[in-house]
Amino acid sequence: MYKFNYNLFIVVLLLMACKDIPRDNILDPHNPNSYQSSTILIEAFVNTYNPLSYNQWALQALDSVKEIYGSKILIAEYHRDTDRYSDPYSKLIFEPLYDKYVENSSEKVKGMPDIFVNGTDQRVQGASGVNSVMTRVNTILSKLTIDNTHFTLEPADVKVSGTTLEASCKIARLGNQIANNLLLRLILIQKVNSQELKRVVTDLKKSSAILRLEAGEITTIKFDPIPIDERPNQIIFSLTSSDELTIYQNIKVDL
Amino acid sequence: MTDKIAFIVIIFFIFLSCDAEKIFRNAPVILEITVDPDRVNPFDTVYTMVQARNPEEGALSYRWSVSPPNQGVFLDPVDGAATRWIAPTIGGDYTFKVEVSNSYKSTDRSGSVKVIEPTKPVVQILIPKYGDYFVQKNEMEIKAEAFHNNGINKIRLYVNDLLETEISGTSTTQYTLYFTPDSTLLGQTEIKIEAIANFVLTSGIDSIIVNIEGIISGKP
Repeated sequence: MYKFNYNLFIVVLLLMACKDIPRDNILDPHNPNSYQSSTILIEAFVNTYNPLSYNQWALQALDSVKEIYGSKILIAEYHRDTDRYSDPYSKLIFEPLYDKYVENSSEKVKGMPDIFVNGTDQRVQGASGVNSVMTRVNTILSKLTIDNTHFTLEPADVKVSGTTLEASCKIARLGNQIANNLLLRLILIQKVNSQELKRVVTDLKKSSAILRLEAGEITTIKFDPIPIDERPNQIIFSLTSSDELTIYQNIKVDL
Repeated sequence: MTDKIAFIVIIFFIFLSCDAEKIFRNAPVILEITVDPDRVNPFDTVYTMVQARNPEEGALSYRWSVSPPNQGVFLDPVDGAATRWIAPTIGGDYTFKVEVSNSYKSTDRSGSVKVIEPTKPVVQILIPKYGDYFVQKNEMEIKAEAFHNNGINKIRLYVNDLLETEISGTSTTQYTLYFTPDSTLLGQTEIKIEAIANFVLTSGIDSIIVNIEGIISGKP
């Protein structure tokens, strides 16, 4: 007597059903039309240890735009020394990045506050008040925040063990184009106080170059263990071009 | 040999085709043309006169014209040795030409008058635009367009009513000036361009408000 094999029947049904599932999820890397909305990175180079208020105005303005745009934007403040005013949060490792940004901008004058939006895509330098900076940054963000990107970032493994931070991140290439010459940056953020130093960058690491990422490909970038003096409040993964001038996608992890 | 004969025959026929008499006659000789005054305001009267000698017998005839044409009004017939002309409202350089003829030939001479247009030069700041932002220590480029029929003598840039720079007028209407703001100019700042025309005391002005943003100089 023939015994009907229910298990085999279900597997066959599932296989038939799977065959017809369309890959129409816009976040699915295997969907050639996939994309994701951009998260914008605002990098503010500041010096808050001088008698003038320009830098404080800029940071207050960024607080205001953060309230408007929420998770659509991420903010990192790099502190720099000036000839006359040392900033205790400045680090030499930030200088090459600032030099590179300024060299690739139309105006070559260095001075703070100096805000770069998604690398050298947009620059807002100087301040004459909170409102002036807010107006300028808001004008830029109102256009950029509706942009889409063809990359997805997903933190893979982030943990703090004593005085060491370990972090890795998955990168997925969306859409139907190959991507070349990428770099993943890891930005460590400390909240020093709740007034004006909310997003102080304490360290900046770069991955080795990602030479090629096929459409639909997913890769994982693991950073070497990073020694830390203090547990960061937040880290940002930032996917950039290998020259760091163009930023493609960003994601934060609160620690 | 044949070529030489052919050449002589051609010259002979050319000679026959011309008015042989005219070839050996002289044109009138213009001794002097007078345009007085040589600089006038609109509606002023300009007196023009020509003195000419006729080396041939007979009377001389005259024909006056002005260039650019159809500007101003000749008060007298334009076929005399002297005429009067009422200056137009449009300023600029006007050229009188008189053609003097005898029965055989004519010759001409020109003289000019400058009409001073009392209107203000037209001036417009092209860039920056109202409300644009600039950063202290970054050089600002200011482009303006200025025009006057008598030409532009000077272009002056004022920042908050203080004269910052001045350049001479040129034959073009586009002018570019540069200015580097310092820390005394933070916030809303007035950029004013004054265009001064040649020969005219009144000037044309355009102004805009821009924002100057302050910075702390970083390490070089």
